[in-house]
Amino acid sequence: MTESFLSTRNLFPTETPAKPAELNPTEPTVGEVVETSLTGFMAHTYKLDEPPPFGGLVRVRDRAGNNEIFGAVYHIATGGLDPGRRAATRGGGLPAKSDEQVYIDNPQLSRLLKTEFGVLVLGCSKVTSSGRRSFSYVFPDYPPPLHYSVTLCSDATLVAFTEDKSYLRAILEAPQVPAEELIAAILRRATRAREAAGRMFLVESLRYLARTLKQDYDRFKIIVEKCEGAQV
Amino acid sequence: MMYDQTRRKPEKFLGVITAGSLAKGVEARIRTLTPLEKIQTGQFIAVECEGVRFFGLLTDVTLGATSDSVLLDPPYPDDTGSSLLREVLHGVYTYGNAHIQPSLSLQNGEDQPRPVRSVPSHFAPVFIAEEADFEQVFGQENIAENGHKFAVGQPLDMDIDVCLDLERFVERSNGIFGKSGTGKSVLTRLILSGLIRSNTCSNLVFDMHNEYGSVTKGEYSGQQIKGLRDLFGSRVMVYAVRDRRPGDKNREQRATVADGDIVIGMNHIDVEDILLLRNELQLNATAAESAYILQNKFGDRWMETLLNMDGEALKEFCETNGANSNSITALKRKLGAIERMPFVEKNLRSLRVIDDMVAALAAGRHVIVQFGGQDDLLSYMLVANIITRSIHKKYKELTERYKRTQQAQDEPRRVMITIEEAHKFLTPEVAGQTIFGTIAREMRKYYVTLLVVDQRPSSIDSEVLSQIGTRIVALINDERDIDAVFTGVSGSAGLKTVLASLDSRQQALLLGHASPMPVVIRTRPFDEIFYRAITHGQSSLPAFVRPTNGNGHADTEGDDNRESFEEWMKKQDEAQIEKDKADLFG
Repeated sequence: MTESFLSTRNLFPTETPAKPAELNPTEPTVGEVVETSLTGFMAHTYKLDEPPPFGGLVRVRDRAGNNEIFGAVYHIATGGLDPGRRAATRGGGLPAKSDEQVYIDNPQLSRLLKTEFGVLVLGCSKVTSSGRRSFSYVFPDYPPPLHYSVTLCSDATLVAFTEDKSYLRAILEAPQVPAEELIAAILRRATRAREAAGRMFLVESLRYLARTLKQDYDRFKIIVEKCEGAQV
Repeated sequence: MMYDQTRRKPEKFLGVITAGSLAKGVEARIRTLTPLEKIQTGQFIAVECEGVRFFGLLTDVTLGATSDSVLLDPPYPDDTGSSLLREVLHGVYTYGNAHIQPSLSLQNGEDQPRPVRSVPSHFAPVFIAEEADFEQVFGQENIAENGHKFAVGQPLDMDIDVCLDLERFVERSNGIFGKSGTGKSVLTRLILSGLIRSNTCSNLVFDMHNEYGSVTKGEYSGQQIKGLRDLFGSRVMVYAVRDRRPGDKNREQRATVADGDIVIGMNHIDVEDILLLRNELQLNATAAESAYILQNKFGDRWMETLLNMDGEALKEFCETNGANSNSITALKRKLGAIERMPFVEKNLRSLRVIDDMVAALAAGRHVIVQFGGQDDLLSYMLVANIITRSIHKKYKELTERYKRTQQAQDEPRRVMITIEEAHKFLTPEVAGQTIFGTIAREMRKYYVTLLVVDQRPSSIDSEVLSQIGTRIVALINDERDIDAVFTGVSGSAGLKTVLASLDSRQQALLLGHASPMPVVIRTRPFDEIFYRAITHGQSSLPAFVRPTNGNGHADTEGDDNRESFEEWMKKQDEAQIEKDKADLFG
């Protein structure tokens, strides 16, 4: 798998000005790494039920602090913190009660439950000497460190990251990921973020996919159909 | 010349080479974003490789798909998202393949492209040719500077000249083919103008329908089209085949003014001439034998003698010579048609006019034989054959003398004979015997070649067709004619599609000896601009006078009726000088 990642390596990394996460209100911190590996990681949200969206681009700094690891959210789940204790009904089924009332009546729930999300690693970035960020679509040298915070990227970063299309191939080849849905979700977000230039981006991205999926028209067609309506 | 990729315009990029062979042509995958509708067959293509540039012709475009499932479940116009799907499929799942027939290659550091002997390698970039490519392959017109490159037209989508190398053109016999009404006459007139202007060879034109000598009316434009005599003055001599018998004033007046009239004596008609007319005279198979018996017996005067025989004499002749009397009688009856021709006389001492004509040709003049009122096929074929036979004989002598002496001044002047309705002379049945068949096959060595103008090439003997050097082909639809046109041309499969897609007017496919590679052209218009270009810088010549020798006939009859071109030119010059003087000195 690493081999194929290397083959799609971007020789001319796109560069955008780096913005320190702490000073950027459009890039909120959304969670913390709780389980990590080179290909992907799991994170818990700080607040119950406030995960980054499916297909959202997130990033984690590496231990040295210079490089950032980028990935896409492919899995979101909420359940009991203790694997032995599953959630049970608490509403009582009374029609007068609203669903939100359950949380008000049981304030302990926010401590017993947790929201987790899975991230597929798609690439990493380096801040160059000129202070610009350059992306490369290969695995980082080391996995993101445990307990480091996860930041949801802004539209500008999403646009810059999706400029090169090689990340799409990484998604297609990732195991246990709903690849078609994830690709469509990322493309829809990136298309919207580009506003007027979105259509052009969508066509180019799909063409890139088509070249990768030459032998699998049916799979390709599903992705195109899921992208429909993403245009501004 | 070093190839510099940045010099090519990006919008001319077509795709990259993916497959193919030298024999069958190469395939290029068309670039994703080029709309297939914009790519036309017949376009001139350049392929850039490491150190070599290939030139070729786009002969076909095919549609392809990477997987059958796309074609089994295509996006229909009313499906949701079908426009997006169609857009992204194009160029990846569905694509166009361009079929290219490479014909020339240019090695790095060379000036002249050479016939192709290799194929471009995989993924070599393919471009629609630009002006510079045309210039490199076809050169620039230099006919006014005494060169031999003559612009015959322009490519379909560009305003640049496509030139024919006239020096190479006259080295072999050539053909102009096309359906009726596709512009064969215009093409012929154009080529003849080029040949006359560049002075590469003498031309003898058998002008069946009075189209080339003097002003005619254009078939479509209705405008006056100048004849070659009008353009080139006394360089071009016009001889007429017409009725000169007294009492037929109407005909005489109708015929155009000419440098001479063609009269043929029966003693100059050979059995071979009669055999050529086999179909027109409806002669049967035994007629040849009978005619040969007569010729053996009576020599030159066989025809006259036969026509003078009465029943008794005929019978006696048959008995003494073992001829079939029915056959001889039939021959006599049918030869009556020739006797009735107005330009045929019983006995002529010499073919003076024809000798003049041959002398004029050898001296570098050009001769047009007009058939004016006598444009029936029978007269046309008979006269053409007899004249050509004299030329054949004369040129054989001249060439043999040149071979003996090896003196430069003895080298015969090249002659190109233009014949219309050529298939009548060159059908497989008669091509083996007629003089035209001989010329097409071997007279190249004797400085005589043919320019065959025909609408039915499939009727021409394939042995003759295979010897044709340069072919200029306007639209042809008939399968057999198309096959015939490409007899002896390698890689013709692709060219057939190109030929079939030509417009019915003012477009032609150029291929063969004088054109470095096959190319589709828009024919150069034969108009005022052309007249000026072709006559520009041309010096004038005095009227031709045959050097008197032996029998001493210097025939300039007919010239007194008209102001010759040179006189006109001289007057123009004088007028200009007068005007300049007036301007200068008040």
